[in-house]
Amino acid sequence: MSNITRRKMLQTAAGVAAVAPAAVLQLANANAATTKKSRSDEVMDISKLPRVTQSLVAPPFVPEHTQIAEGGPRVIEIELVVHEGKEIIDAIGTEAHILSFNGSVPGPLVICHEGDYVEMTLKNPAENVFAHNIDFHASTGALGGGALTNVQPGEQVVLRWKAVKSGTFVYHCAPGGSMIPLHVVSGMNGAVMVLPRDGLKDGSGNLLTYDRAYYIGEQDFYIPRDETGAFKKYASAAESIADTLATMRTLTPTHVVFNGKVGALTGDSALTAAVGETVLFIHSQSNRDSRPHLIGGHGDYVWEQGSFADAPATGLETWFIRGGSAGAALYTFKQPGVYVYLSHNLIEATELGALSHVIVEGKWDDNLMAQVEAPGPITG
Amino acid sequence: MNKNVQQNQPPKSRLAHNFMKLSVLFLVVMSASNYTASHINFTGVNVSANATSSLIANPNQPEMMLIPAGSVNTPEPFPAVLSANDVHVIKIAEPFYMGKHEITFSQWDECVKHEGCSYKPDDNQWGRGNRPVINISWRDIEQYLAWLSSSTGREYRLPTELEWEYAARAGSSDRFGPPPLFSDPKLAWASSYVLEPVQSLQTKAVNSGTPNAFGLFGIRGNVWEWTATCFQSNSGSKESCGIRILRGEHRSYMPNFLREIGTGGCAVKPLPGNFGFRVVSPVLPANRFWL
Repeated sequence: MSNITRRKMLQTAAGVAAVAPAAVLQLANANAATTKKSRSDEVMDISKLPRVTQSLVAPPFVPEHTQIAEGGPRVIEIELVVHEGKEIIDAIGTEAHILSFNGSVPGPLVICHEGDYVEMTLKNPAENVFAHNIDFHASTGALGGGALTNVQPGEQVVLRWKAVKSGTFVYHCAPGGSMIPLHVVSGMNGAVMVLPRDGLKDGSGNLLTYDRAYYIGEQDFYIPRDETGAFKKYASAAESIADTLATMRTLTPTHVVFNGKVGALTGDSALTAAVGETVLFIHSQSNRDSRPHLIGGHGDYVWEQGSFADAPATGLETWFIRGGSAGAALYTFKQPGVYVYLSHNLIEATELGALSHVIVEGKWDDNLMAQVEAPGPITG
Repeated sequence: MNKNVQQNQPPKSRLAHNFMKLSVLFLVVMSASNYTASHINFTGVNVSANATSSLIANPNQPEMMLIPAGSVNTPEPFPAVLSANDVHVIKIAEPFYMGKHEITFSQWDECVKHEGCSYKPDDNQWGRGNRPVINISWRDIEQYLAWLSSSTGREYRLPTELEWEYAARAGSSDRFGPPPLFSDPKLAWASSYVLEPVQSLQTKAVNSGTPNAFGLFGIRGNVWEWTATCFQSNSGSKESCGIRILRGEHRSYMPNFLREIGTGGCAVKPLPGNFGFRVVSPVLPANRFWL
């Protein structure tokens, strides 16, 4: 299918809802057939496992969890509901047609331990117009589950996968072709954190724990402009597709934001901590590279590539999150004040929105920093 | 120690000086009852909300409000310069007029139309008309002030920061804005962090909202306003007039050539979203004919 033909097809809501590439459907059927036997074998074992429902929360917050697994593997039930809507994403009133899991950008963080099973119910409400699915990078097989989870509006699907690797991983919608990046840059992405059963470790095998954790999902938006340079507005997502795809192909985002909009993690919504507290920052970017940096602090322990099976890097100033991955950084705050957690592509941070603030309470330590002399006239 | 900060007049620009030489005879008859400030005691927050004036006699003339002389206490040090942080009283010796509203796009576009202003700023697609003019630098404003002064036959200039603060307070000694985030002096650098959601940058019509006790609209909101005051790094040190003070939610220092600046930023203090201004004009003796 040529790009032109695809674009024409996608310009109508009906066409969008009907998108289910034949190749993907065939693959899904093939997977369903070939895995039937092994699945029935596993069901018997898995059916004996304890089941828990994880209450997902909107980022930057994370679901309640234990850092060290209690007991053996469990089946963790989660529910993701696809939302299609329109949001203002900056202070000048720019509109974006948002596709999201559970109504937040990014979608909620899912937490389990290595060896657990995640059983997800994905619901695509009837009022939606797009087909959706989900690809868990933490999972194994069937395009990360994408081939088994295609749901049209009004449908739901249940997928179970085993967390065989510990680390931080992204998940995202991947319905096929150009719809994959379109859905991802419209907000349909999130992350899973698979903790080692015995917790996080430093390079020497010593336990690392955290007092609080925040999930920061970085999102690039590609909002079309009109001939005057102003951001365009569209009555529906379907109407925006052709222009949005054209803007996406420039590879130049108009916005790069944390948690869905410019300033989402500043002001009243800034992250908080206290001196002496250790904070785990989980950072995902499903489409582009990012360079997290904590102005005023460091990454004490950083799993830059996300794998908790690897020893964390230590004492980093800036770390790198590859597009299509999530990483984690652990930092113990030593000074009070306001910190800026941003992408140290500073143009993306200050001009496009990729920054957040952390307000830290506590007692100032002169040993670490002191203003020896206030600003004044140059004397020498 | 409290010190009185006296009203400081900015040096008149070359063009502002020239307006007196204009050949256009422009008659303004000041009504003593309209501008006499002596009956207004605002130090004790006894402020007449009707302290208005009828200066308008020219289509280009901004609507002005009379700001009476007096003094006002500030709840926290008001540094005329960075190091003079023991100042708590602002004293204005002479009444003056200040724009009831920020200068609008319509008013600015008149200046462009008559070739008094060489720069036509963008309106960010928010509309022109009665919205405050934005995306203009301090240097652009110099052109506007010269044109306005020449076209009306009356001196107009930017307010000093003291005049601005005095007018914005309108007799109030209350603290504006949220309380400091941190009380430790060592965290003063972070104390002005604002615990509020990101506000929309989109401007509103200049007559939106409620005026303050001096009848001024939008003096702490809508847009940040350029002042005539130069940055000064320390008491007694040389001024740096390449950087001027902007006022709004708080003080901000900006190079005088900047027309806009992004929001967000890595600074913990929010940066001004839109630059605009309002004008001031001196009070002339009553019943005086002047050119």
